[in-house]
Amino acid sequence: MYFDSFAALWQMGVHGPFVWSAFGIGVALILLNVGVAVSRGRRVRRDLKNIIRRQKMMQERQ
Amino acid sequence: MQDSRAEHRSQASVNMALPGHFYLISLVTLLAAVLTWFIWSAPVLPRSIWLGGGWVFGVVFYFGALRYPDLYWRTLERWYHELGSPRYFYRLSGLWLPWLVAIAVVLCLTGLVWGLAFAPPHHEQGNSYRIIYLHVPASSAALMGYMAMGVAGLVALVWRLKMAEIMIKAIAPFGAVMAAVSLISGAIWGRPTWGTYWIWDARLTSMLILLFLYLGVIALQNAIRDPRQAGRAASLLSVVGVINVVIVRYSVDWWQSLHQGSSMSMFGTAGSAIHPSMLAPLLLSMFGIYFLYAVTVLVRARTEILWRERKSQWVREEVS
Repeated sequence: MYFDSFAALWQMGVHGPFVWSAFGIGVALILLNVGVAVSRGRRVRRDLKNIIRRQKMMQERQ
Repeated sequence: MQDSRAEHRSQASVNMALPGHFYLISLVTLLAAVLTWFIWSAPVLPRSIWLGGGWVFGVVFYFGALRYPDLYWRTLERWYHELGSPRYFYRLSGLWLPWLVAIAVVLCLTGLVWGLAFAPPHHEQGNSYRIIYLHVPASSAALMGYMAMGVAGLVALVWRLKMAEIMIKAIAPFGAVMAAVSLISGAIWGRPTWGTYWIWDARLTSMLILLFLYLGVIALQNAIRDPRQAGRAASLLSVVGVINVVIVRYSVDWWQSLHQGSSMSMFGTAGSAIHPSMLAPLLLSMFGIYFLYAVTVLVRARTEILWRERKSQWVREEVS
């Protein structure tokens, strides 16, 4: 590691707040986006499953 | 008489086939141009090697296409038809996804940790330069994403291909996030380096317009109820907006700009302007973000395919 300690890595001289806030916001936005895409995929699969099950039940009643 | 009419009809059908080939050539040339443009900015090898390789590839491709036209067109058309089929795309992307996720995670983690903790500081900017390990990959991905949307938009407008419209819908959200991350990280980097978070500079303003274009494409898709009409509107905006990508890319050359020129294109014969110890993590982060982009695009495209094709038998079998 270039820095002597984790405290030095956190402080990065005087630039710690800039670097870590940029990475914090950026990584959070990216992970949020990936999470939304995955959760929407799961929701759509679940909804489709329910729709198909309902249709099958309707057919069985008829 | 009937024979001559049949022959005329068959001749006409041959002539009718030409525009399809013309569009294929245009598409391949456009893709090659985009690829060359981005490779041109890559600092890995001297320009002479890229140029030489490009010429060899061009000559082999075009003479090959002339010598074995059937093989070339059949292969291209097979890819086009197979990848244009939602069912085939769904199955194929399901095979790719686990590998893409693994590669994206490894590259992103390695690149970011290396860049943040192990790369040396910049001799003028100190440690604030480390923001480039997020800023440059995000900017590059935002630009490439919009170019991909432009190509997909062209395919959707010319061939009315449903998969191309689905791809635009899948590409836009992560592209918007990448443009936003680029602007936010750039602003935070600008404070200690330029003394300001924001300035109405050509590069910054055109990047902001790119974000608005992404948001415009997303808004159009959500504003129109019919998915095919929404897809056509979004395709048109995607194609028109490509001009802004060119403006973003060359804004630092065309106008006086506070934003620095592209360090990764200043390699020429003397090599990269970035020291290899800083360049290696940057390239890893860039490819990591590209793979992550591909993952989100495939996940979104698969969801959209399931929803649009929900009445077909294969989706019912896939879901239940």
